[in-house]
Amino acid sequence: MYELMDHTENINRLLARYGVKFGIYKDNQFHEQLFPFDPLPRIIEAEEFAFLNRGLSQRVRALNLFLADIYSDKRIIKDGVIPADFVYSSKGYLPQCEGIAPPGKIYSHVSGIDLVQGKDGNWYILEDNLRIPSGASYPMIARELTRRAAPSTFSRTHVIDNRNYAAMLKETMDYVNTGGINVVLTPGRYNAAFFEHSYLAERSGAILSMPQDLFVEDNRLYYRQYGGNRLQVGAVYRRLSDEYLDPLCFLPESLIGVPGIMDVYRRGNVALVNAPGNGVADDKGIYYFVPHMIKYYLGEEAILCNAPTYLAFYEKDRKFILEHLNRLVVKDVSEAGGYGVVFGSDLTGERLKDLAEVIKAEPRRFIAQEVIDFIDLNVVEGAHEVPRKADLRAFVLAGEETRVWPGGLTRFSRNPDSFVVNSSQGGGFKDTWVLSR
Amino acid sequence: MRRLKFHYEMELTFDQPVTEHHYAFRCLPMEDRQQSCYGLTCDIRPSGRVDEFTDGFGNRTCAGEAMAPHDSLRVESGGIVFVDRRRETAEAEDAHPLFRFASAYTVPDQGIWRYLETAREGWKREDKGMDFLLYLMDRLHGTFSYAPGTTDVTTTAAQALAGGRGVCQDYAHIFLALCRLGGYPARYVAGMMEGEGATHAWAEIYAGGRWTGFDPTNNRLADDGYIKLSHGRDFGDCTVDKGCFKGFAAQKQTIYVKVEG
Repeated sequence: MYELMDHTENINRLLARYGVKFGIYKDNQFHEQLFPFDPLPRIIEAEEFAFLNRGLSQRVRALNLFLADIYSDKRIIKDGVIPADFVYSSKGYLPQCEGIAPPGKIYSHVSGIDLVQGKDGNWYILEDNLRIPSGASYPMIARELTRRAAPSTFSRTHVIDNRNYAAMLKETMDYVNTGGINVVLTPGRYNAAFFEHSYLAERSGAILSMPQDLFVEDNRLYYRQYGGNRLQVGAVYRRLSDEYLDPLCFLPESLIGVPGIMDVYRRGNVALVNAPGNGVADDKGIYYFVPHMIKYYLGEEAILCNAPTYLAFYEKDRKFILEHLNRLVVKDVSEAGGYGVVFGSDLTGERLKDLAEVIKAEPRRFIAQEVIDFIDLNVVEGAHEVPRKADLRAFVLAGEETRVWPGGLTRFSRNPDSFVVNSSQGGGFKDTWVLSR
Repeated sequence: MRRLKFHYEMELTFDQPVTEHHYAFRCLPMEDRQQSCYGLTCDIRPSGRVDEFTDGFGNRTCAGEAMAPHDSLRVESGGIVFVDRRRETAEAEDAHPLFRFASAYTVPDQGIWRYLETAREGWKREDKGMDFLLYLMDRLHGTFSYAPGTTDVTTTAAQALAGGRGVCQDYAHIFLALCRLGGYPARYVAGMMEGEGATHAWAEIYAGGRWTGFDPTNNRLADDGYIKLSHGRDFGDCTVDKGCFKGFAAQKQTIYVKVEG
């Protein structure tokens, strides 16, 4: 794999050429940034991947059962496994989705599960992304370019050929398709992940469509072709968020939605990938309960563990949090994207006390976690290799079966002192090699 | 039990033609154990295909579209409703937990907290059942003034209370915010009252094992003279008419409602 180091510059130049970028809004202006690629892959041994595969698909199966339950019978609440507070005060819970049974009863078709490997060797789940997780296209295209740059690398090593992501995505869409074509619905050119939308559409054979290309008539969804012909749509891999999806159902001021699409979906005449309302299952408060869900719905113990988490809502946990505040990381469950996260170790006496008061006043709002010391991966910097913090986003696709894509997006921090690997914070990415033996 | 005849009319006029107008109306009464409907009609012009479905809250919704250029959209609905508020509500044992939590329009601020605190201090009794809720409604009716034009459809409970005046929607939102803060499941109701005028809004509170309609604007309980169109967390879930269109036009809305025995 080291011969890939010689191709770093070349591959990054090709990535720029192909428009592998992500957009950022800053000061009301749209900027596109490159996502720096590091040639040294993260390597996952066959046995280790088999373990991750079992753990991740188990998790996603449970999350799908949870979503089906929450929008119908709510057994898990009635049985007292999850307090109602955590479901109904979640911003991701959409009462508009009550009673809707999506095709195939699948809610999270494409899940992006973020995990890290601790220095103790254990993998820890950091976050579930069940709405519109992005990122699969980056390792896809990087693999293609590295194969082109150094073909021999891949013939000598036992790396699983994972150029099947688009085929898996197509199978996932086909499985829930209610009759008609598959489309990828993008909010448009100025979306952060537009590159990915167009790339996935092209590779999976779905039509890339803008909201104005879709319309509703007689309880069906149609795609309008340039010539004026219309094609019925059976599955929409939609890459715009719930609140913008349908101005008649959610935000009336949304200019990018498709009016009436929710009505078609409610009647079972189109599949929405992923289903609206999934936010209730990937919220920070609900995260705590995922191992309980696995036990409740599947009767199994969770194979992959959460980062040790305490819920201020429970008195016992609250007591623990307040006693160990200086070593925990505290998160506001209603915030996302790195906001509302405080490391106790960064605070001095006075401010630590203030934080304790806030937690006592509104315990429902906070979770606290042990800080996980996760492993570094080597990254090429000039002629050297330097260690940097890295996480892994694994992609889990749910159709007839729930499967993990043998690969994933490995993101790393370019700052040696930082644990933050987000692409919007200037991080880079690596390919993820899963070995066949 | 009463037999009411209702007529609802809404017209949107535009100063220049608009196209691709998609709409959803919640202008037909709900049917549950307390309300049963006969001979319902819903006529929308320009006419086109209209779908009827029930949304996630069980509200009847008529959705459709007018694609060709038009400078007005008009909806008329009507029918007979038998109302009996003494009957148990269908979901008697199932106070939907969703209604216990603050919603977009009813997030409590310091003002709401203080208002509830003061009201609790003024209530010198231990029990916090129906009598307390009636007292709270009376208090709100007494301290908040009815003044059309001082608030709009985006005003939240906290903003309205701070301003001290508003319309039925604001009374309902403040009452919801107070009740939810006090631990009672509460939901917003859009509907009509006996007489002539506009649509009305009130709140239903779950207490003593059943939902009861409180109308803080008029300081009375919703009785058989009230017709319920829809309920939800707040105004946002119960908008009688909701829509979007293409066109650079100013719009004007007129509503007329008549309910008679």
